[in-house]
Amino acid sequence: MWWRSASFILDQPIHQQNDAAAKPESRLLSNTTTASSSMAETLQQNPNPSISAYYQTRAAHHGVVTSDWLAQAQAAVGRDPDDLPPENPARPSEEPFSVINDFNSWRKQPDLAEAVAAIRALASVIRSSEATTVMELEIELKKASDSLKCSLFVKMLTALFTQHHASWLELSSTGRAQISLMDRYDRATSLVSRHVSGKNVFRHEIVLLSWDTTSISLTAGCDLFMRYVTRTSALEYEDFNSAKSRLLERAEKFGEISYKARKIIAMLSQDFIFDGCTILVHGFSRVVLEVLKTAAESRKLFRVFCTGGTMRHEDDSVNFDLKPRTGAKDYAEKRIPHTDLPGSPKGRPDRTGLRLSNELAKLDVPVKLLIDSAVAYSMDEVDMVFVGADGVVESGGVINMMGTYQIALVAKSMNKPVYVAAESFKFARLYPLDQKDMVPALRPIDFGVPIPSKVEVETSARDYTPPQYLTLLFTDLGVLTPSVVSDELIQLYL
Amino acid sequence: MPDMEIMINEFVAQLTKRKIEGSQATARLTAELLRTVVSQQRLPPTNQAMALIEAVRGVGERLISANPVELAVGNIVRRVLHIIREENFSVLTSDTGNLNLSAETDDEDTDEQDNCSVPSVAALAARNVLRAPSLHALLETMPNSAVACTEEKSNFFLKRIVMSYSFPAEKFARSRKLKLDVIEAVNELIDDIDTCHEQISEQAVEHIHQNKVILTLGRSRTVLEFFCAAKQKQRSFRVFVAEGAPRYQGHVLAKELVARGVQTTLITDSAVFSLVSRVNMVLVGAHAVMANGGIIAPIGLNMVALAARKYAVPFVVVAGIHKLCPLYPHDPEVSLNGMRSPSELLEFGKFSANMEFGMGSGAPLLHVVNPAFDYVPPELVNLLITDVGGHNPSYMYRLIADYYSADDFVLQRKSTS
Repeated sequence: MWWRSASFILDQPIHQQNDAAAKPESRLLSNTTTASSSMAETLQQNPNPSISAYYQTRAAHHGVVTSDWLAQAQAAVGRDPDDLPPENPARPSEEPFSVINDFNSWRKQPDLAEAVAAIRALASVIRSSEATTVMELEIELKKASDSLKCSLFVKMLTALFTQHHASWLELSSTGRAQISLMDRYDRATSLVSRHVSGKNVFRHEIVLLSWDTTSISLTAGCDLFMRYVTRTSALEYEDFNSAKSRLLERAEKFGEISYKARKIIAMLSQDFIFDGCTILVHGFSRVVLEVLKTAAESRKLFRVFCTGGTMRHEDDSVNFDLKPRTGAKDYAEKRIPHTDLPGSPKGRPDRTGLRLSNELAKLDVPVKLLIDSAVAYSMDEVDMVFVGADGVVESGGVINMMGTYQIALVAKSMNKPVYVAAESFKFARLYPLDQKDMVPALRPIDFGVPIPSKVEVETSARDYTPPQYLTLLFTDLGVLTPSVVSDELIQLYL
Repeated sequence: MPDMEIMINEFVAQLTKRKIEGSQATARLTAELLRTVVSQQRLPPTNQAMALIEAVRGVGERLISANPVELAVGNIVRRVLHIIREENFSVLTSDTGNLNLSAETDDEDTDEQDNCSVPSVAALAARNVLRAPSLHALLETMPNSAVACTEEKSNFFLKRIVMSYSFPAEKFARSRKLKLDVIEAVNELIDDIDTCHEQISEQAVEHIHQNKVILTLGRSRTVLEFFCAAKQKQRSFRVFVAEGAPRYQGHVLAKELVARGVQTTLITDSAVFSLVSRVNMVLVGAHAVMANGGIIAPIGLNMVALAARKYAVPFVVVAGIHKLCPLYPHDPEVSLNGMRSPSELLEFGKFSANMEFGMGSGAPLLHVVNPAFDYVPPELVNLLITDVGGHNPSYMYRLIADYYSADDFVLQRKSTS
């Protein structure tokens, strides 16, 4: 696997070349500059606008991370004189409409799934396009769809290279959006290899940058959209304008359906929640939240165990190593973890389980928080496990937040059903054979204490749960067993 | 149609009093009743399919609520509804076929082509309504009124383009055609129900080989015919029959098998676990097959399935396709189980002295519970032999897509989003 081996080789240069100049945010790190946490750190540094963009938006939605932290991240990026604001692509304003901008504005709504936002953005591409033939429209859509998928990648590359390489700008302005992710990597590395080895660091950064999260549901959603909307079987006899309006209609309808998918899933799963049951939920999925909300509103009595996402114990006062700044007292009283304070290592534990428990507490549902390690301990009290999905793959398995596979294994060994709630646009044409077979998605993980240089940290953000551990999938297409998924995908691409 | 009402009420009463034994009999009677409903239904000139569907649905709901545990009733109702939709679709396509023909004889007009495409889109939509909602049909899937809409659309265009061709007689002919088609199809359905045992038994030779030992519990007519068919093909095999308390139907089965020359051993239910390691296969019938491949079977079969799984003995279930239910069992032990009379366990009169004692409130200390059914999860079932062949439990969704329409899964008039 090329990306793994590359990192081993390129880790060496990073040890030697701790080029603080190239990473302005390193000043903000109070603690280590050791290469051990280099992986985690470098992820937090330059790619701040990129990897964190995904988490950044989520953080903005969730309000778990303090605005202080965000301001710092912004400031860090803004410290580069030539840097462009991460929100806008470097593409000159020759294109008055930017799908990325549109996507971002849709994404700001906290309730909207990322893929649905993408679909809506693509619909507005159609609306604002000036193409005169269907083929042209298709090409535009393809460009837009690609740029959405690679938008995060683009942002970081832009941020990185515009500072240093004019030639990259050259490259970038000539139809960047048409280049696939792999091509970009190739071109980027070839670009870099033209330069002196003193700039090894950039290649390393490229490699790291290509580790970026490409959201599976986003990719799958875009692919599905492209497929549905541009199927022109019913458009053959019409003139372009009516074809375009028909396309737009379809696009809007697809957006509608995707948006309503959550309600349908909630309706379908009601029968499976009975009075007096105990449900174990992992991570924060808006679909699962909708399911539980509907159940609570129909006056069902149940309780929920929330797991997922705490790297350390909730009791943050354990962390004495950090010297909090003046505002610390407020933070302490609000029980916001010390890692969110400026001056602390920038990793955050993923607090998704906590967020879900907050939401459920608002609904007056009895909630119990568990750390991930306590799942097996509490599994015998549990009646069923409910999870969402980042993506549903061809085998019928799911890709979801790290920890799902573990929970599914425990549930299976204790004969508890595992239910997955996923919208149909999350069905992806992937077939992972093992855990490492996916596009890596990394997240910063912080243990709160400095880690010795020899110690690696597993930073993957998601895992793959094979279909034999899943009982049923609730989708807007109905209740499905995992074996139906591959059938659906075949039908789709028939 | 007071006749209709009387017939329906009679049937509902029979169902409520559990007078009809067995899924096959129930299925057959339900199909016959629905056939009568269809044939006696007055159809409006437009939207015939919707009218039929409404009528069948109304009757179906009453039948299902009369005996919710007997899933065959719901299955047949849904089958008939699916038949109506299918026949309607084929009537539509044959119409658009006529349409295209007539259009070509006229002048070539973009208008005409437009109108050609729209009915075909309508037909396409109707076809997709038939299929279970899938990713593929996501955009073409229209709500229930689609059937009505497409009907209207095709009628509308019939009028517009082919004025000279459409006259009331044709529409009338079409309406009769739909009814006739549906009744024909329902007759086929009834035939299928009647002959399901033969079709299943034809497959017996493939599964029962020479010198095999087979275990079964209680008595299932399908299983009996399965054994007989194998016996006729000169297979020599032995059968272990577990008696199936409290009804002891196993005794009856044992006698029948012996009458046909099959070597039989009768055992108690409790002995199953100790003997299952010595058999080659476990063969049982089912009361119903659920959408996830799990089965509702007479009480005691879950234990047998677990025993078979423990000793890696294949657990084979034989069931007619009328037992296939498109619903998922979310709480099968409670909602799909019926309680039979406790007198099967304990005769009234015996132990009645104990029944008198109670707690302070007078509630008796001794309870006698006699559940009728067991739920066997799909992981424990190795093979499901139906009249359309032998399949894995995970294949059930395919059969369901063939025989049922997704719109009919929920028959109660609940408000859905």
